[in-house]
Amino acid sequence: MKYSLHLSDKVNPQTDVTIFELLINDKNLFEKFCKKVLKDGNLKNELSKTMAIIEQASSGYLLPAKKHNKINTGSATFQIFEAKAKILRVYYFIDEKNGNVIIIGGKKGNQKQDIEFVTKTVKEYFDERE
Amino acid sequence: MKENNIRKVIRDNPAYWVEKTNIALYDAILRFMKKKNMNQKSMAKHLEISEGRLSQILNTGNINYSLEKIIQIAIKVEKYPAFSFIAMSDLEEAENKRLFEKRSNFDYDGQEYYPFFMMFESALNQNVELKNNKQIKFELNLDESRN
Repeated sequence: MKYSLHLSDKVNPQTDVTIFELLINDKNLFEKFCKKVLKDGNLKNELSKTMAIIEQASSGYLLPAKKHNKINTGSATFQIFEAKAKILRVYYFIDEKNGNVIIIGGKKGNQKQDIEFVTKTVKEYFDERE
Repeated sequence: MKENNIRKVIRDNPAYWVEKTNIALYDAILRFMKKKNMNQKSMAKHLEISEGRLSQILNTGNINYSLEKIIQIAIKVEKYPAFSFIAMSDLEEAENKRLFEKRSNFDYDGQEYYPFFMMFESALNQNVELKNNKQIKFELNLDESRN
């Protein structure tokens, strides 16, 4: 199996919907991203905000589109969201059987490529599960 | 860096708590507006803030008011703001316990902690249940909560 889920330990585990991180060939891209952000230091606030957004979204809070936006995936049946800070974006999708699954983080400047990547990844994920 | 250190860095960052509080108040304002079927003009008047300011709040989800004003707004949307300050070690322990429980697929029946400020439904609204300091659960329309 190319894809597997790892229970996220970067968020409050008490959310209504459980939050996972996606492993691709056992590699956790989101964790790698977090480590880089924390090492660089200047976007720690933004990472913290995006984690707060995902937690609140996973507990059913209403959120403005400026913080939490549904990605247009065309005719696909799955739902991908981005948690937004000024520069950082964190992408996750809904796996109704398990919970909310964080895929990757990225910067606003790479948004187009990141969205292409997450859309392709989520499609493959569900294809593999079938 | 271990994962649980990443969590600690996030949790120790004030921006994390500010964002959670902003979202909680944004949620309370929006639900109140929908429940009372109010437009922005009447809502701004009700909250005693300018229409422009309300528009900014609804657009960005950022409140940026003094503590006193935040409490005033909360009460006007029929919520009691309840702040609690939890010892870091207690919260860390509670999170670890919950994580362990989820990992081991074991039913954990302990106390759950919510260290950020929670909006309590007004006593006027009797459709709310408070149990063991748990966060209030609302009936949700999933599509609505996902924008």
